[in-house]
Amino acid sequence: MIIKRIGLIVAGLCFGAVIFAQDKIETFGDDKRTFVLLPAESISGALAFEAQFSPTGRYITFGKFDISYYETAVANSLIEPRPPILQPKWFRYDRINKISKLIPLPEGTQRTVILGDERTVFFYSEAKPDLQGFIDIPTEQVIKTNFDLSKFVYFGNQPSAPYLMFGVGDRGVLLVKPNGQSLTFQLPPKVHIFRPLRSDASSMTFLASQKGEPSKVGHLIYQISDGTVIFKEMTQEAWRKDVGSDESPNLFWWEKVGDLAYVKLLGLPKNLVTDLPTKARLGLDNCRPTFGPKNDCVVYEDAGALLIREIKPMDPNMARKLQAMDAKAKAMMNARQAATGLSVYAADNDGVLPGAEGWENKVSPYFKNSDFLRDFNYTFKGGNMSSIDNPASTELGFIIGQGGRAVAYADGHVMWVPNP
Amino acid sequence: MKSILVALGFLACAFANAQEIFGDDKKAFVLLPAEVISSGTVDQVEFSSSGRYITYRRTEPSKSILEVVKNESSKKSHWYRYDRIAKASVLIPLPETANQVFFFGDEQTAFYCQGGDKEDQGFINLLNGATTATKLPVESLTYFGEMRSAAYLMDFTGRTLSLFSPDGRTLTISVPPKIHVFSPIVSEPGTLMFAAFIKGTPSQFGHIVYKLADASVTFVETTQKLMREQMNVNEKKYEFWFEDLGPLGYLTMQNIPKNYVSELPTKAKLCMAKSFARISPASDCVAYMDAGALLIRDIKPIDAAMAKAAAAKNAKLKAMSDAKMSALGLIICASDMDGVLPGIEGWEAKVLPYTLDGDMLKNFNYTFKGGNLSGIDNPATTELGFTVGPGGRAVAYCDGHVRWIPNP
Repeated sequence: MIIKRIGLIVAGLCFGAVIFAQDKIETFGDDKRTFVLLPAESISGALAFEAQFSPTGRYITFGKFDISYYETAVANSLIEPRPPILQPKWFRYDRINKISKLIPLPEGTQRTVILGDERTVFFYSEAKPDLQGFIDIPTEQVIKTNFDLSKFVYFGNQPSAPYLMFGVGDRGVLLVKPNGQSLTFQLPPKVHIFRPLRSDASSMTFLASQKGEPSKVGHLIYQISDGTVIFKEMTQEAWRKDVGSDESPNLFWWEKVGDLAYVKLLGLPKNLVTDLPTKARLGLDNCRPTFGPKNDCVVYEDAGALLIREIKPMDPNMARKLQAMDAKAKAMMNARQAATGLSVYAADNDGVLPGAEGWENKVSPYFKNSDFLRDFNYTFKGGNMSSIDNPASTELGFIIGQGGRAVAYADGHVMWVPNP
Repeated sequence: MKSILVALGFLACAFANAQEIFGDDKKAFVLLPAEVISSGTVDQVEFSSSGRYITYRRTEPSKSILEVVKNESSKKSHWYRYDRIAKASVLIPLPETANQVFFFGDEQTAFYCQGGDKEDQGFINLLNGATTATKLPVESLTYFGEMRSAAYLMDFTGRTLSLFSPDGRTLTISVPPKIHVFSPIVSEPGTLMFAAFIKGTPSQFGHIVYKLADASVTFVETTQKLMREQMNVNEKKYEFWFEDLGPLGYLTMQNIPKNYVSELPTKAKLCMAKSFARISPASDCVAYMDAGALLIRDIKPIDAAMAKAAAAKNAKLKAMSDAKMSALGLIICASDMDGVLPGIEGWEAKVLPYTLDGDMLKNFNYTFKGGNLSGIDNPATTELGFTVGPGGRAVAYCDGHVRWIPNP
């Protein structure tokens, strides 16, 4: 018991330093661009779903089911062939102040969209067509609407175009601002709108095309003051540039490998050879990550909880340094664990350390996972611990690390000895 | 388009994602969704003796990468205590120098020290934060108060057994010659008992009984086995243990025979490997780490027959969800390709960018021969493909809906 207690203490002492290096920071990238995935911040407990970034990436909205309700419903849900019908609550998390604010949406809301103005949410329900409207988050003011949801063309998620867009009749377009104000205009013949491009107080510009032989592409400009609508032809090249203009290019993507999800750089060549890891462990395979629009964070789920990890660019040389530190810390920890295991074994065997033969099998029962013992070079010849004159300078064994060895001594301390 | 697909994820899928059912033929458990205890970075976690409280050490997140790379010891960390009933954490106002903390079994007291026999040490009352400085021989202490009925520190030097209580009192007991004292064992009112042995050939094992009334000490010989059992009475009989296996950490049933075959999995996925987890003394919840954050999941026993039914239901839900996601991937892929669905050859590679789940697509049997979506007369009855589930198939149709068709 006493020995065990000491063992636990030793393990506890080295744990802090090591888990930091090993587990909470992950670097990834290629030789030129390296990033670090920082420790997780918690946004919400279970059961959170549908995390969605605002256009600037400052806010994250999500729905949440009350877990206590879930607990009582769990038995029912196991028998019932359908999931329990629960009323979620909706929240907006502010990444700067790190707090979540309840969005008082009406009961029955199924879907939410954050508008490009960063303060309005459009909510609706697929089951109840009359449940829909805008809510202004700071003032909590609700404006109910009554649109034909099947005619949605655009949801207002661009910063420069925070309004909803519907098709009306054959060639009509209806734009609705969050304050309820609406505008209508008719499309010129054969012209189709793709999406809004930009808008200001006097005009609105859309990406559009005109059918014909050959088809034309260009801008559709709507002058608010006099209601005129003009199609302006452009070159394919300029038009394509505009099409990609609203999306800041995604830097990262994720992939499922076995049971885990990894974050990696988008567009890395296959067969890339680099001394840095190209991907970082994020979470379990069902963690459903979403990246921030500014490529600076990733939001993901863990058993229904919602977590966020910042992604920061890092100098590749720094990443290499960190990697070396990691390897060293790991070697140091394993050497210390092995030495502790050996001394606990000795304490259980009248103070006698095992001989080199079969020492691994003797010590491994003291660890639930003893794989690391394989890397430990046990150099002590065995014998009674009390007969060692100077335990602090008597080597028990070592683990080879990057650029040196982690040497464990008979008193349990570990020292890093760089290669000569 | 891709973001829409993500938003279309099934509600049922969110539930299935957040719970795990596991067990053997007799006992079954459900691992409920996670509650958050703390953001990163947490590095030490411990349950209190009753399991109501979780104490943890948290290091404040770094502001810059440079700080991250620096040695951790230069950063401030604090201890907190989470109350599972109130669902809130409270900062434990320890002196900044304290780097070792021992939480007592009475759930009210902790002892802190700087490590070694240095000056800064004392007791702290966890309820009101009051501290009492002490000058104790920390290096020689052999017991740190973790037993519920023995909330004191113990030192056994020479022939004197000293018990240091949080209220500042010290009880000294003279131990007869040759007797060595290990640690407290469960005591009766008016008496204190300690596991002990007398060295000799052979050695005698047992315990000593100290009567508070007359300060008498008696050695009672038992067996080594019994002595160990008494010492370990505080050791919990956990239903589960945390198993680090490959890329994942699992919550695994204890004492499962090798080659055991059951309809239920005997372990539940918990977190990434190289994390750590603590199981509550009553085995009713597990606290674990995710990238430095601390989370907790309740574990509830459920009827084994019900668990089997639920496992089958979950598998069915998953097949339905997978079939639907695969179908939507195909349809969105088609809409990006002028409405043309891919042919059988290499369809997975074409759809992968829209679903990001290769395993899911591998399990989807794409039976449609390819072609223009608009050329399909009746999309609601034209089969796109299916995913095989327990006892049936989840069939996806060209309009995106999915139906469960039981095996004949």
